[in-house]
Amino acid sequence: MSLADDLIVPEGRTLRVAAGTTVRVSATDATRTEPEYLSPRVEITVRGSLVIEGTREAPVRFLGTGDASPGAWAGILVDGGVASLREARIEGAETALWIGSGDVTLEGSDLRANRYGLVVAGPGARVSALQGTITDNDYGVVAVTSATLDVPRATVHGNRKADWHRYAPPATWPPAGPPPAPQPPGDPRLVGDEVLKGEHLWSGAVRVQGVVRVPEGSRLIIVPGTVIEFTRRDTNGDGLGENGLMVQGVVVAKGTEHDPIVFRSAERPARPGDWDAINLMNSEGSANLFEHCVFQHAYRALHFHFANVVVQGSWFVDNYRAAQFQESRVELRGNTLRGNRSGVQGRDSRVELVENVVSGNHLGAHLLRAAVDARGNTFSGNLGEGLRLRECTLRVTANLFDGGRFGLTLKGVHQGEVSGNVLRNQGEAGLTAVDSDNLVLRGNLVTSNGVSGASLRGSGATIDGNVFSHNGTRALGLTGFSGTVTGNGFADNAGWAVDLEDASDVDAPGNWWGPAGPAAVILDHDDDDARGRVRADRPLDGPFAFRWPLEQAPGDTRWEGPLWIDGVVTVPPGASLTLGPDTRVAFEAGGGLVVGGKILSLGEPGREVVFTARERARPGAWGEIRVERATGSAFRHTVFEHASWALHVHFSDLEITDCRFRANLGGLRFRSGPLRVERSRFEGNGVALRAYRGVGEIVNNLMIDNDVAIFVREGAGGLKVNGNDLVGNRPYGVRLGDFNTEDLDAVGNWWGPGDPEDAIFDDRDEPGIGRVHFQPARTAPAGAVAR
Amino acid sequence: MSRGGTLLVLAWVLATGAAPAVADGRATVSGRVLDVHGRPVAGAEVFLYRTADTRRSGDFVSPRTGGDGAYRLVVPPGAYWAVARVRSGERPGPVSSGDRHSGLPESIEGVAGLERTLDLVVASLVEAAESMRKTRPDIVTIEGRVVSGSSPLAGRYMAAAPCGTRPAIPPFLSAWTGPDGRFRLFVSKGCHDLALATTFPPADLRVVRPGLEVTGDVHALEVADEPTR
Repeated sequence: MSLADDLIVPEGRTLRVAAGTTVRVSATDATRTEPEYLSPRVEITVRGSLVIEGTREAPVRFLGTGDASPGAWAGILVDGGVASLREARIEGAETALWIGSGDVTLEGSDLRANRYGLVVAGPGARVSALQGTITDNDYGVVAVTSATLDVPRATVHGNRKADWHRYAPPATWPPAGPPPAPQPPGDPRLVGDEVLKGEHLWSGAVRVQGVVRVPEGSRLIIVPGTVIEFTRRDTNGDGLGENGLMVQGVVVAKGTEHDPIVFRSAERPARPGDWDAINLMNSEGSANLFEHCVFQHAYRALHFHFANVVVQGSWFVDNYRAAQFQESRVELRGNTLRGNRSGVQGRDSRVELVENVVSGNHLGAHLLRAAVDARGNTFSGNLGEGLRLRECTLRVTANLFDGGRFGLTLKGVHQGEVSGNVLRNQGEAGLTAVDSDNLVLRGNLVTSNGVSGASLRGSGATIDGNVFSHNGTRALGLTGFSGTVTGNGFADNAGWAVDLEDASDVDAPGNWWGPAGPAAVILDHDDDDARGRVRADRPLDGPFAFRWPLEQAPGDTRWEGPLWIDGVVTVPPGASLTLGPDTRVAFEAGGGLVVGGKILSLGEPGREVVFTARERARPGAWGEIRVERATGSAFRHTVFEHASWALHVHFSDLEITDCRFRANLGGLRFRSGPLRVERSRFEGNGVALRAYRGVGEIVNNLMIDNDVAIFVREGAGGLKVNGNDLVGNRPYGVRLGDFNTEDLDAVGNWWGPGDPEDAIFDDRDEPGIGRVHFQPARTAPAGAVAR
Repeated sequence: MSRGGTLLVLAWVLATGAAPAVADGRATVSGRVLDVHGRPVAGAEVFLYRTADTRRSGDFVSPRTGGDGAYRLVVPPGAYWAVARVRSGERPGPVSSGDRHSGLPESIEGVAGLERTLDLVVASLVEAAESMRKTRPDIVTIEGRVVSGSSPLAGRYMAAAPCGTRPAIPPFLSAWTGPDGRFRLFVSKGCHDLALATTFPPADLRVVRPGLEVTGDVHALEVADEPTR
């Protein structure tokens, strides 16, 4: 039989394929774009049950038509169903068998001559295989490590690029919280198949039991706090609800953060596809507004043609597709699109994507022939691509691509800028460009991707100022490339820095290749006569300072090498920033860090982490590192210099050991705690350490040549200051503040050769401010920190 | 000439003509390089390729255009694909982000002894995006910030109504401002009273710019308000 169109086995249905059946699948691209399909090619999607009943003598075969080259058709895609494949032969597909979720059993089946044999993208998927082979594909098995695979190694062999590739996506960032879920405010107003002519205002609870039309020239206004629930009506039995809105006028749904507007299913339990969509057609005048809305359980929550639409601060959760559009002007700003089969599908439009979170969807966003400005977004944990742009002009700046299978994919782009993004932790590739030209890839961090950091095929680009590190097979793969590769960092990748796959030469002057030099990390003509040469002239002799491109250090972020920061970078609650040995962070004036998550600054002896000024080495040249409720943080072997307040800590359990604070207006300032400050050197600061109602142990440090070594504004009773060398501080080694009423335990310190009282300001100088108990004092330096 | 499914109308043949040219069996391709407003562009290079793969050095490259945007190339007869590029530097290869480019290659047949004319329109990334308006021709944008002194104000929105009208909910509304105070209002051309509100439906609508005559896009409009207590 021939299969010329997509085929879905819906939930609750079973498709049995009898022995001896041969299915020839058409090799067409860009088939349906409806949300229930997962690929632009012809696919067989299983949400119910697929049972293939081949025999060794009469197997069931799935083949592409035409030249049947790998990738001609999509493959069998298991999306929440069950598939049992006995004696099946699958060939010519993009992925013979793709599993997002569900259970699959392979018995005596062959996955052969596809681009991918078996892909297990979903963490909860289960696959078991008995006998059979996965061979002659580009990749044999690609799977997330959390999936359950019982596939004997012997069955996977002879695949061109790799037999096995497992990857472990990080926890999806940002952590998933539920969308607002207000109860309907009172009994609902019932609305059926109606036409809302003129101006209508919805408030309270509304139950939609049909298709509500807003004709041209009319306007529907929805006020904050309105809850609109759609009943499920499925007249054609396709499993998808049909109720919704059809708007040819204008919709203004202007919720607020505290009083969102909700569009969701009226059914319990609710599921994706219970209702159809808010359809907007020919509404390209005044902007349609959807602000602080929650869209759940739709087939296509927003679907519009020839419309002007602004969506801001809204949630799209558990829909087949969040938004689909064409020939429109679209602004999506500050939204969360999570757990949908696809986030955004649009074409022939002008699109602004700003500061959205597109996470945990099957597919993130896919735009065709659009002018795209994507900045400050997070694409994380999507099973396939985060952002796919085809035949677009584009500016993609300051986005985070984290933890999917492919981060950013460009195809047929003829001009675009991709700058200041972080592309990391993708199962396969951070960035992929195919048949594209005039690309500028600049200032991106491309790190910890499973196979390729970036892969460019048949594309022209200027690649400069990027850092590629910790990528798997290769940092940069080039085929049919034109352009230059210059001023990039290619150190510390597991595989090749550059993998030049074809015979053309590439200019790559002025890059940092790591200490082993370019020859050791470039795969080109020197290794294989069939390849061209990478002309790695004038290599840099060390890493260059890389500007951290995001306003946050999100998720689990690791900083290495030299970086610089303009502005203030935030480590938000739930995130963790780790700085490895030899990391040097230089701040512009006014720059700094605000840590609400966790920071681990883990230098080593002789390989300290350094926080310093980018220019003008003087006290106060940059702001501060502010640590707020960042329990579990630590600074070890870390240098702080030239700050206003180097480290400013509130309500954090923090360890500071073997650090150096020098030439800051203020060194360490803290409230609450507990802090432990040990074996650290404070030198040449205005105030070395300032405590306000602090709890901490300050032990075995050297504080020298500061104006004031320790200033306790209030609450001295919570501190222990012991075993330190407090010398050469003018005017005070310890000064209690005018509002302090508690005594300070400061026994066992070395105060220098003079009388310790001369270095202390307490109730002996100003009655009522508490006393510093310094006896017994040391008679010689403790020497825990060498002078 | 084939355009295929191009994204933007960045390059097109404004006038295709054929005139006798050189008599030595070679073909001539000439024309002008224009910006998105139809003005001549100086400093542009026109590249002719023998295939549609233009991600490489051109087979023939014109000298940089002068102030009239004109170029002229004499080439062997045959099929060509043309691209114009305007670079800020001297470096060959793909253009950089601030540079201008004519988009997908335009095909043209070079005929022996004839001069063919092909005008090419170049645009930067910003200009390419701007050219894709996707709103009705009578709709323009008013963009700006709501501020108190120099500090941006969040939690506001702008509204516009035809001059002299006072609808309870104006026909043109912006989204809520965020921490940067920025707003974008889509309005029809004409006279509008611009107002500001902090509640929806608007209980506190205050006209801040009466009688604003809007004939085109308005940028960087600063609207003053007081911080919410």
